[in-house]
Amino acid sequence: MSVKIKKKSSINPSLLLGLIITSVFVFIALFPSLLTQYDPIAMDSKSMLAAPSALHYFGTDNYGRDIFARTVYSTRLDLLIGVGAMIVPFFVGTTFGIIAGYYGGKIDAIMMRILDIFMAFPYMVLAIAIVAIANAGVNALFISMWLVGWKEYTRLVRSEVLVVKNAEYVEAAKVLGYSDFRIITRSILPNVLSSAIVYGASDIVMCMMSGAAMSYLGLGVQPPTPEWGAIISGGKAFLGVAWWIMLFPGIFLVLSGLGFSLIGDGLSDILRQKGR
Amino acid sequence: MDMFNYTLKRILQMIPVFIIVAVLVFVLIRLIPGDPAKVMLGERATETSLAAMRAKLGLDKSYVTQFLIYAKQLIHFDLGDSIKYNMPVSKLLGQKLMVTLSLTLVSTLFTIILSFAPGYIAGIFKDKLPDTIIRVIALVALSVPTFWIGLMLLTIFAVHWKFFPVSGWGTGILEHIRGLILPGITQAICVSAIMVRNLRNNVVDIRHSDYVDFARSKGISPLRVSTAHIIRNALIPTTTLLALRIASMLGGSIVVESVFTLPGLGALLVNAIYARDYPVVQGVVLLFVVLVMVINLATDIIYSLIDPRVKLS
Amino acid sequence: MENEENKNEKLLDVKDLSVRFYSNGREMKAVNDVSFHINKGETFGFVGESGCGKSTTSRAIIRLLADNAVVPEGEILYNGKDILKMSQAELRKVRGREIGMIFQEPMTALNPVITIKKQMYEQFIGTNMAKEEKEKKAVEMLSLVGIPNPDKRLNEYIHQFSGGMRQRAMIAITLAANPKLLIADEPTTALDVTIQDQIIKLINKIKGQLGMSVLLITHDLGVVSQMCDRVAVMYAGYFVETADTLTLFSKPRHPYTKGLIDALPSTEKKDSTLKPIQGTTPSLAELPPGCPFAPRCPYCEAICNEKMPVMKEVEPRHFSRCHFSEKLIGATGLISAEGGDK
Repeated sequence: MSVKIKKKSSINPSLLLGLIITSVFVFIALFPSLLTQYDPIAMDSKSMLAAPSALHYFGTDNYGRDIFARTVYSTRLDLLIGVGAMIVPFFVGTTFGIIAGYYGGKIDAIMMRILDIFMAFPYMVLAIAIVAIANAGVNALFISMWLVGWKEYTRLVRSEVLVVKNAEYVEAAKVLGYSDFRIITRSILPNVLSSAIVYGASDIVMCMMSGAAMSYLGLGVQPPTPEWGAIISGGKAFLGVAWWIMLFPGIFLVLSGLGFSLIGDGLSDILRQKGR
Repeated sequence: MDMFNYTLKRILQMIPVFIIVAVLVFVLIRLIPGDPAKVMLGERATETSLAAMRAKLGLDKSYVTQFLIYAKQLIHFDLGDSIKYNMPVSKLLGQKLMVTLSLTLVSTLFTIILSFAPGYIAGIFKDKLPDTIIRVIALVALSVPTFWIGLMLLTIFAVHWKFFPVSGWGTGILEHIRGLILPGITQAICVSAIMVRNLRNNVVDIRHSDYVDFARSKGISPLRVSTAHIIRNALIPTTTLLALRIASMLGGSIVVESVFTLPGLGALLVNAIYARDYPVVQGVVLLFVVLVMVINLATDIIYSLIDPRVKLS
Repeated sequence: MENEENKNEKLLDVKDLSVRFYSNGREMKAVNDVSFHINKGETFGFVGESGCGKSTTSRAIIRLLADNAVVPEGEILYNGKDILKMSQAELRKVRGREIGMIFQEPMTALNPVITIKKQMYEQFIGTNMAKEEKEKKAVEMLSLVGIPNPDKRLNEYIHQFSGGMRQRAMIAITLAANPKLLIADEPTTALDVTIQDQIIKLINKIKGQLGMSVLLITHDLGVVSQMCDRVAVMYAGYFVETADTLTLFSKPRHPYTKGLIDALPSTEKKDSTLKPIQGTTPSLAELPPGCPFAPRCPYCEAICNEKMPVMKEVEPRHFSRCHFSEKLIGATGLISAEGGDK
């Protein structure tokens, strides 16, 4: 029976691949004009619904707009939606979770009641309702996802805090008379932050997908602003004849999501090996 | 505590939450900008006809009065009438509920088919080729947007190869099933990815646990060790996770029903928002909330049934 | 005369067994050159510190090792047949019905979501027992180990049993298959002292009743003295001394054994400090070329660091792996050679 003796490689392959892919997309987001000379909202009545070719890499839509340009220019907005919609809940939710978990008692009880109420709604239902209230559009997307996204962080962080709170080194810190703030930042935060960050990576993906889905439904990014979900939505009417309108923005969505997911997986592996 | 008393206790706990949710829904809906009367009568309607429409819809009364009417109706399980369709909301919901529930059922079945076997295999062959392949596929599946993959499947299997209907779910059970297959698979893809990862991790943890070693030391067949010990124990957390994901699948139905033009609750919600059909939006949201609560309760009960260490309290 | 012959009939004969683990690119020499035999009806003990290889050796006997383990050499003869060369089917016949094993922590060694009854019945698979026979036997086994209300407790789960009862339940399940050899891997380590005592007495009693042999693994010399006929002392994967229990305690002939005995707290010599063995056990991935105990040995000389000592028979049926085992002749053991124990 042969057993392979594997040498441990120094950097986690998932993390590396994820960082590479994400960097590519960040580059595309920052310098779209380097990749295409077309204007994403310029119409061209002479080449409507043209199939992919050397002239138009991803073809054109029913207004003659170059899909490659629209897709590339959407990158900035989509990545922004992904990260922007996640970052506020990350901080707010984590803070709530630490406070609720650490102080317990009435504060925790109230927090759990509020969580229960928010938990009663499926994600999309509440998100759509809020987007509708906030008058649709990009700002509405952010507001909606900020209001709906914090609860997962709070739940996650709170349960981690509950575990860590009873650890002996926290009790030791208390006996030594350290202030609450110091205990939280020095002893508790480092331990709970890692799972929040790992969840955060997958949350970026979820926010991108939800933002694209809501834009697809017409409730998010409004035309003619290019955004992957919105482009796909425009392509639905031409399902049978111009499949390229829907295909390529979707592939960009998958790949950019993959990049962040790999980062999340890589971080998760590393943190697990550090012996939580 | 036995199941009946537990259920009763949970229902009692749910009532205050439901009340707050009902108030919240009322407020939220009223915050949606736009005038239902204008949506119905069009931009060019005269002020008098608009006023008449508003009176007819009960929108001319004060918010407090509107709320009292709403509350009174709720207690009698009356959800009002749809502005757009001119029929009781509850009747509308009843028609659409069947579609959404069927979709959720089909999605769950596909999820089980797509995730249980691969999850187990990946766990058993940890770090070997089958595991790597399965994990890569799962990772990609997680990053695939549901609405897009639905559209792709639609294009290939319904438009190009006409295996399935392009929209709707037809009439009759067979047509219904045929119309639910693509949407079911679409929804199952993302959830299966989550299930595969969860099951794989459980199997990896359990595979080397003491009780598996003890079972092997008794000389029982590997098949029995796998089924009676590894799979049985690994499925416990996975099943509970699946039950929770079913609740989020309800929300996902909004997108899937739109893509596949299924006459379900999700599509109803989106259309009602566009039409500023307050009573319908209210009714659908409240129904979703009730469904989620019921699913959560069922999950806890099922969990206590499959894991004898868990006691309902 | 016949008893003598019976007693000397070898049930298990292990020759030159080695086990290697591979992890993180390193090779761990967990078990090195281990040879011993267990006769019918006797209790043989492995004693040593954590990580010395005693559990690994016992698991190797029924090939219950982890995936990254390799057995590069050795023979494990059970009733004359080499277990290491058996097919999976033959191995499964040996496991359970010929050689049974009980683990250290019953809470994790029994499946938490399956009843005791079902886990006991697993032992009856392949026999043609009728339902009533199975039930009768199951109840019988629970009674044998001293669990009251056996018919009721059969349908319970392991978390419903208390500490000592859990260990008894596990023993009952293992014994239900009628093994000829019972491997007991630290069966008392996780228990309170009083319950420890009960389990020790239980195993001794059952062993006599069923005519079983026992391979006991422990780090506790006290347990060894109460249960074992013969003992092997292990260090860094090697056997360093093998002898009858009495001989080992009264006339230890290896510095490590002497160190272990000396480290026991004494009730006679009051006001004396504890005498631990200085230093720590070596890493199994970086074993020195000479004797692994050399760095900690008070009798160490130059040759000890250069050359690995071989196992020598220092007197009949008493073996020691030391270059200078004769330096320990006359050393005080736990029991004076003239008789009278502590």
